[in-house]
Amino acid sequence: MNEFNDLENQLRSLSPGTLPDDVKLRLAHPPEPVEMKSFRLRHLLFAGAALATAACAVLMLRPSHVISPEPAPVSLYHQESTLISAKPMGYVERDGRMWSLEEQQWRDEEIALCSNSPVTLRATRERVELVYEPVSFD
Amino acid sequence: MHISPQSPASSLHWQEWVARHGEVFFLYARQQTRTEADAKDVLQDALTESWTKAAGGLPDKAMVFATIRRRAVDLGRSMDRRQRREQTVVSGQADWFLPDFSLGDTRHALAEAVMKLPPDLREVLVLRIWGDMSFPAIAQLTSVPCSTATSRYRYALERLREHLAELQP
Repeated sequence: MNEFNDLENQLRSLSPGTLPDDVKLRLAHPPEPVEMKSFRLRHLLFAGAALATAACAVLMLRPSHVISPEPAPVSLYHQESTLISAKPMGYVERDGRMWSLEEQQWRDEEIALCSNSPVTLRATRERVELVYEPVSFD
Repeated sequence: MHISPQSPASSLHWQEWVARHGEVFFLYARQQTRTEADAKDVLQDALTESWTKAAGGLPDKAMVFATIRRRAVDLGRSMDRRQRREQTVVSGQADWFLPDFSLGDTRHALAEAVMKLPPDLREVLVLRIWGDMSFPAIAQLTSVPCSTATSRYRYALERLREHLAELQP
């Protein structure tokens, strides 16, 4: 800032006030070395880090508790069979008697209610059976 | 320059360092605090902290200024302590600059004008003129853009010049 050169020089010629005597006295000696303090701090940091590592290791190596499902007791079991269709296949004579042959289609339904959890198991399957029935002539 | 903290030379280096820079640091501490007592406390704490942090080296000047500033801010926040100090301090502050009677009234007027500058302008002026800091370093220290630091310096000089012009017959 060339335009202020003179002023800057004037300012620089102002010497800052000397340090008061009590400040000189306070600053007569350098601060004490902080070897022990820093050593203790470092020691604490190391100890803290070691503890944290150990805690992590314990958490990671802890045997995991996998809950294996036990067979749940069944409190209610219900089975129901329903005839869906019946298809006559014909007549057969055997042992001196007449038999009608029928193809029947059934639906079996099984329902199980678990007693200790609100779970309902339902199984459905369909089956086809050939049924012989004797024919009576009234 | 590296000095062993426990070496016999350490005390000598400390004394030399304080003798060389102590007055400028004290001048800056006075800008940052409200009372002489606070300035002394801040100066002592900041120099001690900077010397310790330097761990055997001579502390960087910018770091010392920054430490003074931070400690002054911390001190300013502890209102109780400040109030207690203000009650015990005699009104008015000591002269910030050495008197030089041979040069008449101009220097005295200039010193007074510096003391009356707004704090943000005065801070940049002190760091630049007596702290011999660069504008980027001042900007970093005062947490303002470099352009702001430069502008503040210019405003401070303009104000001082105006003040001196008013004194001219």
